[in-house]
Amino acid sequence: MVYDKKSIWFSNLNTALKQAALILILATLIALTTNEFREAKLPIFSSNSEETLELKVDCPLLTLEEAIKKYQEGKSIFIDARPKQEYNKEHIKGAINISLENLTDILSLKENITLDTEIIIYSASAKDELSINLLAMTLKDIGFHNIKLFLPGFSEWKKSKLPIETTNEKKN
Amino acid sequence: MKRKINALFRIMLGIIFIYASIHKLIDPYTFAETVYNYNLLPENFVNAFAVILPWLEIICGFFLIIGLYKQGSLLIINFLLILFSISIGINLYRGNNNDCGCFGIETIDKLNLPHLIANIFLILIGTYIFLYDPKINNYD
Repeated sequence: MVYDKKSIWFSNLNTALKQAALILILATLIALTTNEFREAKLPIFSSNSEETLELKVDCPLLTLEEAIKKYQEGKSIFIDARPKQEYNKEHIKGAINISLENLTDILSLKENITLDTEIIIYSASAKDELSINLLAMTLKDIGFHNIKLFLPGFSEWKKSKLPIETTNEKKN
Repeated sequence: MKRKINALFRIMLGIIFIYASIHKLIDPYTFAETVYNYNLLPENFVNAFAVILPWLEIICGFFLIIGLYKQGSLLIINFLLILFSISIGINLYRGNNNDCGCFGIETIDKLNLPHLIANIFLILIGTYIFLYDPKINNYD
């Protein structure tokens, strides 16, 4: 009797494994398809792609410590390259938002600051290298020449409990 | 009675997982950031994980509620709950206070001990449903 129970249980486990494999395949297929059709799709394999390497802009990279130093000096403009929705939730205190969705904002930036102002571009993390590089490239094209990239990005900034704020409600 | 308890737990677990998946489906970008902040997955896998996990949760949750592919769904859900508990445990040990990412971004949802306890509680429920399957115990 005990043996019977055991064998049924193992057969159930076998069934469970097969079903789990099917569900996993189904979920992966749906996830990849829906992501593909999403307006702001997440790049599944963001780093190390050829596209990213080709689009690298020749700009100095800042470490977290260097970015903090620049922030404390208060002479640089921090640009948040994440989508507006992310920026509104929270961003580096005082940073302005220019994402790939609203590149036209660069024109108003050009009206307000001189072309030799130091600009520090950041995104969510180093995995967003592509969007940071594209933005840097566009800024360079219109004449800004003092651009630096802060690749560790907002996640490292926030992790280090540095000043952040939301668009409506200031905190920290 | 046992059959009813089993079904009740199963549906409850299904609803929790569907609810947990909604914000991740709506805003995968923030969820990917949360996964990244856990500092456990290699960077290259973060986005893939953030895209696939919510669908895995919603499909398993749905199957649990309607009673289709119960065993497979339970196996995945228990595996995920163990994975979540280990991840939360490691980050609590590290002293990280990042977003939990469990149920939403609208509410402040920071990592804390109650999250770990809730996960362990869900593992116990998931294991109970999986082990005491009506088919084995002849009360179905």
